[in-house]
Amino acid sequence: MSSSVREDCLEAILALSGKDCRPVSEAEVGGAVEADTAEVMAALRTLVTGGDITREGEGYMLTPQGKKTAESVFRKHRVLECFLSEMLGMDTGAASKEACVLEHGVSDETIDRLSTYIQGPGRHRSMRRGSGHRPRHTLLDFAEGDTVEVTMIRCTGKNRRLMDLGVIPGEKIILQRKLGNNAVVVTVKGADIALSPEIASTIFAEKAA
Amino acid sequence: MKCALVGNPSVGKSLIFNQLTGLGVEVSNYPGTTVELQQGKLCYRRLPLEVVDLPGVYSLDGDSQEEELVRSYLVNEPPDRVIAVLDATRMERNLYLLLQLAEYKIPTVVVLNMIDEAMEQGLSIDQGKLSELLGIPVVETAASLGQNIDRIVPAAMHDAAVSDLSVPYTPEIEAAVRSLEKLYGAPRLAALQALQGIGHDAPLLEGAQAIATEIEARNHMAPGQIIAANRHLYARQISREVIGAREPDRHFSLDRLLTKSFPGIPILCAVLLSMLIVVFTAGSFLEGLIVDAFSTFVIEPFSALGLPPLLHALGMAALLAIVAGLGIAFPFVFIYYILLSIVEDSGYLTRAAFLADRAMHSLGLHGGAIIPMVMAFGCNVPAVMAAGQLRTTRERTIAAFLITMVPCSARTVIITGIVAAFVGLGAALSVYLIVLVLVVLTGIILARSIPGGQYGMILEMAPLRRPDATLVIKKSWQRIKEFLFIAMPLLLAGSIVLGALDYFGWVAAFSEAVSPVSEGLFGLPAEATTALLFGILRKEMAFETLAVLAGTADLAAVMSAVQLYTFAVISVLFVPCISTIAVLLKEMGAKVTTMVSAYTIALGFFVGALIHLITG
Ligand SMILES: Nc1nc2c(ncn2[C@@H]2O[C@H](COP(=O)(O)OP(=O)(O)OP(=O)(O)O)[C@@H](O)[C@H]2O)c(=O)[nH]1
Ligand SMILES: [Mg+2]
Repeated sequence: MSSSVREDCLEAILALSGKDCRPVSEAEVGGAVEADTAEVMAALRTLVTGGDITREGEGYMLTPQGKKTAESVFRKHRVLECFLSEMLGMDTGAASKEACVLEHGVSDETIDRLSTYIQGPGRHRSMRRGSGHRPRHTLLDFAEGDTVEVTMIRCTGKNRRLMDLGVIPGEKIILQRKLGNNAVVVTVKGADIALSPEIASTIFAEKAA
Repeated sequence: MKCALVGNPSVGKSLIFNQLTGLGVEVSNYPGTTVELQQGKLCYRRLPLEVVDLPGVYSLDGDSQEEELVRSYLVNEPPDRVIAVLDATRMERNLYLLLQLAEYKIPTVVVLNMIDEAMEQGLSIDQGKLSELLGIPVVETAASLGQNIDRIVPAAMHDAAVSDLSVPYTPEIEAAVRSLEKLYGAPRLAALQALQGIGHDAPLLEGAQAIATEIEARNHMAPGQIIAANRHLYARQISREVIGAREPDRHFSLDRLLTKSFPGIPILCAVLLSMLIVVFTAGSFLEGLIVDAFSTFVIEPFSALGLPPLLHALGMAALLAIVAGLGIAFPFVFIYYILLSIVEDSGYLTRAAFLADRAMHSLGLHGGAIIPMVMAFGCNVPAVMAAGQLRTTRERTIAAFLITMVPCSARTVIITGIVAAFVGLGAALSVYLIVLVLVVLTGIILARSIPGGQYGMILEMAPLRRPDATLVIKKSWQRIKEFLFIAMPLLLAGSIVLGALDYFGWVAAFSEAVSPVSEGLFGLPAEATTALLFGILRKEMAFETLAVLAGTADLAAVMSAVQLYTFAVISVLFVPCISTIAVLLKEMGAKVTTMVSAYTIALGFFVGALIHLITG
């Protein structure tokens, strides 16, 4: 979490130093950042060593590099705030606090609980296949002629085309042909798609009911 | 007024384009035939209309070259009308693209093509309902039968509408889009794209990235995946509403044979071999007839005219060029193109790609690269262009090397015209064997020595179809036209110039200069080496030059079988022709072009010298 405290400190200094770029004291930073004093102190020290801020008498000032980071944190904060308030319809103050935690990436657990709370139970579950039990079978574990339901796909970024062809979690596909070398042909949405073995092995599935 | 044809690959866009404009762009039964934007003009009620054929895409949010091309075309120079071509037999996936297209808010008309095949499969599509759901007019067509094509342009001009269809996205996506709209004033389309990392607006992308990370953490799914899932779901709902019950397909599918290792692979070999044999035997037969007829009815009477020597030399050069060009290349190239077109249109190539996937992996490529490699048999130029679509520089480089080694139709002219005709069928096939071995070796070596990742194949299998005779002839004619009207005049002019140079003794001087290399290294007469050099302009030129310099189209009279064989092998292997070099430069850059040229020259000379060494 210390990187998030660091980012919060940067953002606090940016906000507090104002237009005239006055130095910001430790106490002021501590007051704005939600973390205990020891953590804030540690974060400020790291920031000084990292060249993001410098000590100026009683307070801290942003270096150009630190200013850049702080501004980017600030923008991220603002976007997330807006996103969350759109999502929740909650008042901006609460969303602002929320975003402050979220922008640094909380554990999935927290977010999961949060999102159930937001969307109502059940609604969300169908989108999150495969988070409960890990899928164990890839397409290559099935036999020719099997109809299977896709549960998960690894490295979707690399093979976006799969997604566009309709190979997405929840889709039922038929394993039409599997060669000895594991090249496969699957039928997806009425079309036959040929896949190399290394692609077929990124597709996890279970036997369709 | 500009209309653009947009749709999935292989839905018939180019065929419709050809029918609308009367042009002849490539139409083939495999995905990715069209790789560049094609423009054509037509007149509708005296109004000029521009039609644009685009490469087929599965998505407008993808990162492949053709997807980027179509996307940037629609964003940067939006056409006035979009003609969205859908394959009626693959509605659901085609609707997925249409849903994306609707977000561009361009007046659109839907063309439901392949309606003939849909009927055959017992698919009933409620066209009225579809039109009502989409809010845009729908025209049902069967482009291969020319059915309803005449309705497309009027519908596009008068009835095209902006679809009010909008995909119901998950709340997170909607919230994200609204936030981006609010904070950055981005339009909905740009916001959706930015969430998937598409676009050039840096602040918008930064903001979208922050939200995207958040969404991914919540759902274990990137926004791109969620968006795709939402669209697929909606496409399914629409297609369920418009497609009636489908009778189960009980037809025997040839795929049961073609995509199995056995008998698939033997069939693949048989197909390739029989193509070559047909070309060699039929080509040689026709060649014999035409050359004989020419010598009796044209060359001999011409020689008997007793013209002044210069005129005689020039006329003879021109006539020989015509004999060599028309009489030898034409019947043979035409047969070759017809066979190639039949294979392309049957949908067999995608099966070959599937079967060859493993083998291609050891060459550093994947099965999909079979398609440009087979195209290269026709002409290396479009093949190199198609290879430009491969995803990594490594794959493109390897493909560039291998493609330029594949004997194109012009080189096949040399193999048939020289080796099959004067040496023998087996010898001609052995040239292919040599090339095949060299291609494989080169591929293996390149795959080992060029660093970089390897992508796998994700290839849609084209449906198997009986090739349409008129389409096949048309396509072959389209290709041979290039030969007749561009290559032939060039060859003719080249030959006349050559005749003149020869007459004034300059060729002899040049030949003398190269003769030590020619005779010492390859055991070839000097004019053969001169001919080889001319081959760089066009590969057929090597053959023509040889005929002109030898003063006869009957090459067996002037060179031995071994010499002819050596000559053919060298000219098949060495240096791609000028056009190939130009397209290599454009698609692959100067470095690859230089390497390819140097490598092929070295290879041609090495193998030529080797043959000479072996045969003593
Ligand atoms: N049976 C039938 N075949 C068709 C029809 N329209 C096109 N075809 C065939 O479908 C194949 C693909 O046609 P193309 O026009 O090349 O498809 P395209 O959409 O331009 O494909 P890409 O350039 O790869 O995006 C060709 O073999 C056509 O002959 C049709 O209405 N019915
Ligand atoms: Mg096309």
